[in-house]
Amino acid sequence: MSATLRLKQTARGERPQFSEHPEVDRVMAMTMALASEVAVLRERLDTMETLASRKGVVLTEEIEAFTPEPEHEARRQQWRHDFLERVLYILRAEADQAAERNGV
Amino acid sequence: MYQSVPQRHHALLPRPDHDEQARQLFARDFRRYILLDVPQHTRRVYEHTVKPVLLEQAPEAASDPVTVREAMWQQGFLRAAQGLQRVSQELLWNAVVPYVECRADEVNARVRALGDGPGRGSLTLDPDFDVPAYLQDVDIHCMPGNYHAEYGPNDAAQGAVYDRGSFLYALGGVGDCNDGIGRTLIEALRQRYPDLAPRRILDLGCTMGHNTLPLCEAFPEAEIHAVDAAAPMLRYAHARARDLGCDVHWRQADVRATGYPDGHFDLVISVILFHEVHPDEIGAVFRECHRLLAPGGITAHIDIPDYFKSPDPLFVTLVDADTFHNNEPFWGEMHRRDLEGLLASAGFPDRETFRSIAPMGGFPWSFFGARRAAEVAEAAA
Repeated sequence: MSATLRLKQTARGERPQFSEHPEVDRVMAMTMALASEVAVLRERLDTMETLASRKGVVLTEEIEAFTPEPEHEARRQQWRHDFLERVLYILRAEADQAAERNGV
Repeated sequence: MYQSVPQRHHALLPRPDHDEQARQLFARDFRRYILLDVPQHTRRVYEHTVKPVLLEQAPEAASDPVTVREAMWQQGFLRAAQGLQRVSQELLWNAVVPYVECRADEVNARVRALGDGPGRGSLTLDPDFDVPAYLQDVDIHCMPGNYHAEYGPNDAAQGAVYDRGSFLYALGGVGDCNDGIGRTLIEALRQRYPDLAPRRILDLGCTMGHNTLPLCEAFPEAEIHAVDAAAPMLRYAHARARDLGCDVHWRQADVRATGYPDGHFDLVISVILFHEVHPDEIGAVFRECHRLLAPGGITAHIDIPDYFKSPDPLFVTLVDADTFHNNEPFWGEMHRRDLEGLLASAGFPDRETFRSIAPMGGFPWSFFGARRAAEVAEAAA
């Protein structure tokens, strides 16, 4: 693979501020970038385990070439959803408490 | 749970490696979670925390989207939810740009191999073309480089960035060829005009042509033309169309002044163009449609749903997030304009204008346009 062209990585246009404290916005972005990497890692392990259980031997080339079956991919999609629920538990918790304060 | 289809492979779209694929699908599913799950929490916070206070203080204000947005912003939950939505959009491009970047030479070599020389369709670029000023202020939907960045001579890398990125953005819900919105427009057109049989068709703002190609299948007898402001998109579109066996004439042009002769087309369409046109220029595009159409010709456009008149102020606040936080400055504004009035001002007869819905599953795309009067004497009408 060659890489003679350098593509722009950041979009033009001022980034909105969400928190009153800019550092909170930074932490939020870093946390989710980290979450993305955890998901990538987890998926790679999942691939390795799947291949290992099939053959007992794991080859890097096989991992790179691995494409999950549709049912397997659907399980991964479900996993990503559940993972996001865990990482973003604070949103659910805040809504739960708002409802609880109103006796719901 | 909403099921996504995988994107169909074609010669120009690089195959992601294992981890790139995982990163891209995480970005897609994070976006899905933000759009489908988080709003339920947002609504509960609104109902239990903000709405009771608004109702007590100013009952009429509780139905005003601006007031609701400000109150939710002040309360803080919306800042977290929409901050995460922004991050999800950034992670999407973070997962796509480097994947294209490290294969840009490969992509460009394939674009040249397919696009150069004789073959189906044609590509006409204008080296002196000025990208409209309203497209240069921000990178639309936070796509680094926007549609028109060129990173080298005859570069088409942005085409691949948009191809993969737009597919993920749509949550894989627009079909494996990324063309579901174009197909939805054709279905809506056929329902409205059952006898439609255009001989020459123009697609305005075609980008990489994913929604242009369904026209080839739907109207095999017609000559298909498509214009866009961005040269990298057109290079990619031309090569992709050839790879997929479609015959389209691509041209770099401003949608307000395309350069084709008067009355050259029977059908002029666009697919999700108008929410990226400056609202003050919508009339100019409609005037160009009118000029380009032969008497009796039809113009029809599909664009983001018109959610902005919903009586639910929180819903309006949520769908307007892209306007405020995703570099889509015209997103909400487009639907606040009188599109039918602008079509009439552009020369289309009042009774021939329409503004309705083109459904894709349960998704209510907005659908608007007009038929040009059959007689040339329409100006007197």
